[in-house]
Amino acid sequence: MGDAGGIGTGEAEALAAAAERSLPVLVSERRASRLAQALGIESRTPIDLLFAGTPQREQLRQRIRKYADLVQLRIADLDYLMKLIEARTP
Amino acid sequence: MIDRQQVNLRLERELVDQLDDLARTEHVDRTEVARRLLVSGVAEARIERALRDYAAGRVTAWRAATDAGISLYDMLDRIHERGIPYELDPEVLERLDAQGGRHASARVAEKATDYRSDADSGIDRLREQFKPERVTTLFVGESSPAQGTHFYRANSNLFRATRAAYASALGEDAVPTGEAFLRFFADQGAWLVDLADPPVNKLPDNDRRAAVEAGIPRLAEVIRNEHPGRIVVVKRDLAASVHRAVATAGSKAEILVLPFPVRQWAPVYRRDLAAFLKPD
Repeated sequence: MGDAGGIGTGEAEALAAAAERSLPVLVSERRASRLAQALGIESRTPIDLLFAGTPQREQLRQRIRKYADLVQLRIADLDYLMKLIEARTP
Repeated sequence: MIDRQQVNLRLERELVDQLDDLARTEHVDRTEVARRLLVSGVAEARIERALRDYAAGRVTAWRAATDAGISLYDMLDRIHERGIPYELDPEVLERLDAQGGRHASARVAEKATDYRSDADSGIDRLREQFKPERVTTLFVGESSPAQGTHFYRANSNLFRATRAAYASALGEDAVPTGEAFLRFFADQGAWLVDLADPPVNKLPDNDRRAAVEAGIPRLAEVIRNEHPGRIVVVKRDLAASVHRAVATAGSKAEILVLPFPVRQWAPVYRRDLAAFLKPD
């Protein structure tokens, strides 16, 4: 299992479970989400969840900034996310 | 009992002297010092290799941790210390951009007339008009746009980007412009269908997803009837739905997944589609 497309055992297990049960899978890394896509599994990332689950614009800004600090998001990506929040329907 | 194998190494005299010096200090023999140094050196080298693989996008942090023989949390600390940035998947930005960054439950007011079915808006008729005799490449979109533009009206972003990709692959002189491109597109065996009908691009996320899901059986039927050898998915979010339709139809079609050609994704769409279309 350790050699499955550059992903870890837990990620592989999550993908297998999602495929088996026809459920979307939550993965944080690009390589895992691309593998999910190749397998026909719908995937979501923590950023998707933050956007979907945070109705308040300012609160979303704070959460995205915290997440960006945590994972060391590129400044350009963070700027883009902030613009999306700015353009968001209040 | 530990399984140990004998390995003979030829080392420089100076290095052997340094090993002996360490051995005296640690009160162990030269072999034990060399073994300890190898253990720590190999462990560090595995971490370095895993960090390089992670930074290059070849593995996830989890896999890197496994390869390095350390815990995921230790690997995350190493990644943080090294300042390796998180590679955000462009698809996430694309998806959020397409949603206008909306909260999942947000509703967007639209006029009822924006949501006419393809039969009512005349798109079905155009689609049939430009259907090839034999469909070899099936393009699958999400739905007709609510704003009234459409590929088969030769006035949409998708039309322009697709025409540009064909021109890039086959030569500018070989590919007509405007409505003539629609006939050319059909002559190439290419046909565009949508998963959802009526338009969904301004619907809230849940409604949009439900409409796409509902279109899977219909798409499976199209694939079963037309037997396309290649399928081009015109929006990355649709990949899972199209894969399911392909599986339902029992098709072995080659599948290309592309971003929808708006903003920064337009050049990616043109480049990747052109590469896909280029004759061998």
